[in-house]
Amino acid sequence: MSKTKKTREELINQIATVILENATPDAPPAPPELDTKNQSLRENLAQIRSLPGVTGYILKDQATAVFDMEDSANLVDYAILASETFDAYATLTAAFELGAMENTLVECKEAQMLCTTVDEASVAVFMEKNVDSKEIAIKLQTQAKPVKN
Amino acid sequence: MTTEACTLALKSTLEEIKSVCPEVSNTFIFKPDQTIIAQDATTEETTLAQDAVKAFAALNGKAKSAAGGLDSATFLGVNSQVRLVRANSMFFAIVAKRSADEKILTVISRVLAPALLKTLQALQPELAESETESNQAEGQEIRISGEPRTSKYSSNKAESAANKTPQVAQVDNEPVLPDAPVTQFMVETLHTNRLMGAADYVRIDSQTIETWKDMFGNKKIDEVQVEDTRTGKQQRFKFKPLKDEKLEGKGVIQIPEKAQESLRTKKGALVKVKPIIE
Repeated sequence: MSKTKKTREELINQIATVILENATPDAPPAPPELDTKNQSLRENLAQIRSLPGVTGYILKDQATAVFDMEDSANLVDYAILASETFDAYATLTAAFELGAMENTLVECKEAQMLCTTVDEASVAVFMEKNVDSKEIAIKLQTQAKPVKN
Repeated sequence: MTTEACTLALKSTLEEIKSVCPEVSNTFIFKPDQTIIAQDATTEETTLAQDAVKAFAALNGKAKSAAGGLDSATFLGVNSQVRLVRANSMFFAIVAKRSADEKILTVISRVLAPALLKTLQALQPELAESETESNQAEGQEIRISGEPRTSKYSSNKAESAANKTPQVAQVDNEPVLPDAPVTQFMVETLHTNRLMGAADYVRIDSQTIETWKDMFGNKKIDEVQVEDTRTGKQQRFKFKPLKDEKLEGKGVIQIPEKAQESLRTKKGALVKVKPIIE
């Protein structure tokens, strides 16, 4: 439990850092680690982000988090929702032996979120409810290749 | 139908689901307050459902803050999958192998389960009451024994639900629409951004709105009728869900000051709220 809390706090701190970076007039310099490690993933996410109805994404690895959200005012809420989804998956996989995550779709009243993992990075893509999440999942799967248990 | 009989019928139905799709390993129904209403025999033998329900409840809480609340969730793993669907203030969860027929699972989770839960609410509203009314029941579990026939479930004994839903529930026919329920709320003032001008709507508990949506399916509900219980003055308003999560479940309606004046009500007063079904 304490581990979960720590993760959330870390996540919020990381996002706050990125927000500050984004507040500068010029485009924020991407964290070097993500730049090399997740470059193709970020390019893929940028393409997905440009699709109609896709409202943003959060990409997080062990050290950093980057986001591109239309509604950045509620960024922390979205980040916590994504974090909780990964936590829920961990609980469920312990209970029901789901195996490595392919993806998780969370449909809310006002939006939907598709989560997946790519290598050690966690990805959450937010979209309007009318967007075909399967299409997004397929686009993400060009990156995501879960290791079979 | 008594609560026990209803739960028994539910359990039997969950077992039938496993017969329809052998890849299904676990099924259970629970409320947002984590009370498990029914679960299949395999799940009942373990504490798996409790762990999952806790995780779902936490996720639902975060979904409320971020995007208005959880409608459904699908967790796909390489070995198995978990699907969660909300209907009528309850959640239906199904665990199946990853190789299970997606169409069958979709029919079960998107068609059968919501119909089942709606019928449950029609037959036994107190069993399906909202989390705000039963938030003391955390961890409580209704355990049952015996296995009645599934067909019992669709019987026409809906008398126990007559106060809230006079129509008899029938799964196979067109969904029956109950009378618009009247809910009592305490008035709070809705403060709006001065730049945006006065709001022309009221804010209501999202759980109540969800219950209306579940009760009336595709029917449009754009407005509510608000009646001050003291003066009897009535007025229609558009409505939105409460923004402040702290007010959720407190039995509060937020009304702008101007609207309070026209309704001849004030902060702290009690009002009756009824959805306008179109």
